[in-house]
Amino acid sequence: MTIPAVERSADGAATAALELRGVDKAFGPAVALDGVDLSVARGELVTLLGPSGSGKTTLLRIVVGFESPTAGRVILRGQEISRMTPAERDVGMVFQHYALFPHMTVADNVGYGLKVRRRSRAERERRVAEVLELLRMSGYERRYPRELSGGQQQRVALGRALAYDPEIVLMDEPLGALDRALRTEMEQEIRRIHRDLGATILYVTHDQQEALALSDRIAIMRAGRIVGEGTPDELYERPPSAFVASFFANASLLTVDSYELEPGGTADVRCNGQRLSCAAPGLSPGDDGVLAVRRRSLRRAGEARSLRLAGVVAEVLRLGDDRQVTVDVPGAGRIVALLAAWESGDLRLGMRLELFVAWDQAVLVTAD
Amino acid sequence: MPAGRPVLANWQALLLVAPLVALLAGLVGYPLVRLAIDSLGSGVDLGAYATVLESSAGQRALVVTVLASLLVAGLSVAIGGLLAWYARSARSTWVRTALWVALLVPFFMGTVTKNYALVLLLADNGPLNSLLSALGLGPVRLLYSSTGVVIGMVYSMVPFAAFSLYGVFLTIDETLVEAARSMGASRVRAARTVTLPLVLPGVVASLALVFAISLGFYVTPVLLGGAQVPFMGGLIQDYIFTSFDYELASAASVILLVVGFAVLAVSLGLIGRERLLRAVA
Amino acid sequence: MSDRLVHVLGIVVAALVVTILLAPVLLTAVLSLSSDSYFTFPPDSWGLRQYREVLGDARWASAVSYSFELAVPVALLSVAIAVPTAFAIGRSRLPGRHAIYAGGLAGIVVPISAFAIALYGVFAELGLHGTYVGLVLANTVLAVPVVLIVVTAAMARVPVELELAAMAAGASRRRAWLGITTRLLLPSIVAGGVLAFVTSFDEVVLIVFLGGVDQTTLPKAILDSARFGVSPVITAVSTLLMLGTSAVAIAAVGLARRRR
Repeated sequence: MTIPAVERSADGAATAALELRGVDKAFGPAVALDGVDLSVARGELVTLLGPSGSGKTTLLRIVVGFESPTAGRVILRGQEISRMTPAERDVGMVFQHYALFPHMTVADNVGYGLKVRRRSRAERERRVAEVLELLRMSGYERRYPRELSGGQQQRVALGRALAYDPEIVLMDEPLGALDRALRTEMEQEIRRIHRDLGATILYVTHDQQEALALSDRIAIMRAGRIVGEGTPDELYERPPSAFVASFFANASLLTVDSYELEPGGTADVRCNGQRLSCAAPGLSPGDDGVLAVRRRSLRRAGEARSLRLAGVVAEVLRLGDDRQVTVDVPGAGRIVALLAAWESGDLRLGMRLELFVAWDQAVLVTAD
Repeated sequence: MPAGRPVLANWQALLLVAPLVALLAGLVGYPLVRLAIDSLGSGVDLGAYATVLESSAGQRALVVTVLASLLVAGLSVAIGGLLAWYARSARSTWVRTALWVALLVPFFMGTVTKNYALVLLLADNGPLNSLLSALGLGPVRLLYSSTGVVIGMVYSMVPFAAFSLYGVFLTIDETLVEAARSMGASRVRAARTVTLPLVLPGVVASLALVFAISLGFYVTPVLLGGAQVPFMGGLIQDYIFTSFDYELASAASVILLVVGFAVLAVSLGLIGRERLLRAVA
Repeated sequence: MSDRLVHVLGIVVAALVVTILLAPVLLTAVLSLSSDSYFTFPPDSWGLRQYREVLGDARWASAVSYSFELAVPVALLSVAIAVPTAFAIGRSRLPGRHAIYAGGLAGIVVPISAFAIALYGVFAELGLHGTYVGLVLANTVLAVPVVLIVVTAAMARVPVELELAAMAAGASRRRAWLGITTRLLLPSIVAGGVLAFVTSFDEVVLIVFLGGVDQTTLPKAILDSARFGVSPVITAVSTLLMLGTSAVAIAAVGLARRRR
């Protein structure tokens, strides 16, 4: 996945389009957001990823202006906007259920933001045609939303938010209402449009796959806080915590008997009666540690300096060309491995199975 | 019909609606038909209509009734709409409760007590006039004038219009307004370009309904208007209880019904049956 | 126009309207507490004299009791007619059911003075004028729409899935309905019945046109009193009637809107 060009100023620092500093939000006694810090550079697509109730939609609504933060600052284009109405902020928003105006044509929907900004009719028509072409919806100008399929409506909703070149585009689980095949197609569409336009996008979803497919950077949210932030690769290979490891990186968590931190961000780990030296990013002395092992890191054959995990097969799932096998390893925990069919061999419930994970594939993370 | 789905067979449904249909046929359908027939006198003769429509009393009553009803419909829908809008969009429960109470109390107060209270309020030496005098706007003749009658009718119809429009507002998706605002529209502009076109059919329905109901008002014009503000309701009563002329009374009633149904039919044509029904509930 | 300005203006107007809506109620209540034997505002003297007069006068008592005598059967009858209709509309595919629903609403939509005359003719013909039965039937036509609206709305909120689940567990359709659906609808049915009662209790036009000389309900008594000889006692009667019906009605509406 190519990373689109991020605008940088003369000294090389990426200019931030959006900055959130210490944002809190409470609804009465309930705390929805707790000290959120985030910045989105111009041209970046940053995803807020988290389960329901993690606060990601609330954060989005604060950026748009439908909610105001209890504390903290929201800075767009260098300006503090927390007190501004949505209309004054120059943002674009794509809603989960599209929110297309049913009484207006596609052209009027897409051109709405331009009309509000008093662009001339000629300019509006030109721009609408441009946007529709970008979305591969040329020719649909005079149709009404009810005549369109779900995927088409979502494209129009996207076009509507992009038409007037807002400072940032906010997307609230836009693909949530689509079926799987359509979702994959739209993921590619959004990526393509992001690359072609260089738009700054803040994207909200609970779907890990979507986040991986679209994002330049991901911020993982849980219970109102950001618990992990980085590029998809960073988060996947070096998860900062057990939660991120299991929620995002599909990793199993193994109990360790003990560990010793070594300089250079590694640790000497004793697990399941063996010693292994592996990466331990973000661990401080005294933290509880667990070993995170991703599904695909487990193999049936071991190399030097691999951890050997032996146990009993508890579950086997056929997933197309892959086999997902769950093994109970006494003293370490339950591990889930995803093996290609050609390497999995014969797998039966209750049989003894040995799996190996290489030292550079395992990560020691803080337990939650 | 697939076995087991909780859907009634048509014959069963028919049995269930039979009582209502019987009631409607006997106490609404038949009387109305009879009314129309009676108004034609012996043989098909439009004499009664002529008498009513040519008499100065009849013309005055009809004009006053129709004009007042139009005015009442417009005012009630405007004011009721405003209240319904706030009831829908207010975030504080206090405000919403206050609005609901303010609407429900007059609605269920009872026609007579309501109008009687207004008589007290609008009297020449009543509190409203005292207030106006204190403000230098002088005592105004409200009772026994068309102003008073309109005020009284609007008072009765605002809750009805508000409930009707509240139902319409419920059908509007709030995210549409949010979408408009996120694109730069002020609240007012969003209301104008998005909400208004979508509620317009419902507003038309409410107007038609309030108008139709206003035509039939009896107590308010009698108590608040007296002889100065002749309404069809009062005229009909005179025909029956003073002139003992049932034929004239029925002719006047039919005229009233025709005007009412005509307006409802037009609105039905404009906006469709679904929306009209939704405005009633 | 500035957003803020419109916002503020709107609130001011709404507050004004709310005050105006409640003003007559408050006025009547205040005046009912005056001890004067004439009308002035503000009252010169205060007291419960009027209430004592009302409660001691047999005529008001008989008017109230007649109102009850009419309103109770009307409420029961309208529920008996409207609830089955609601079932037919909400749980069947009978062609024309929407038209029947619209017809059921006729009691609200038809101008009442014209309707009263239409009934006058029929009643005269059938000898129902000035009879108890006639009044009950006439009031039922007016009360049915109220129950119908409340119960059909509530029925629309009961998901069909509940009945399907009961039937999948073995209940017959009738049992599913009686046991589950009706149980869920009960608050709305009760509310509808109460509102029908209130509607009939407050009704006056039909009584004027169709009632006999000796058939006096409370509203009619107040009306006569207001038209012919005014005595401040009416304010006490009105206040009692207002409070009574409003309290009952608001409770009923609250019941109907409650989600289970």
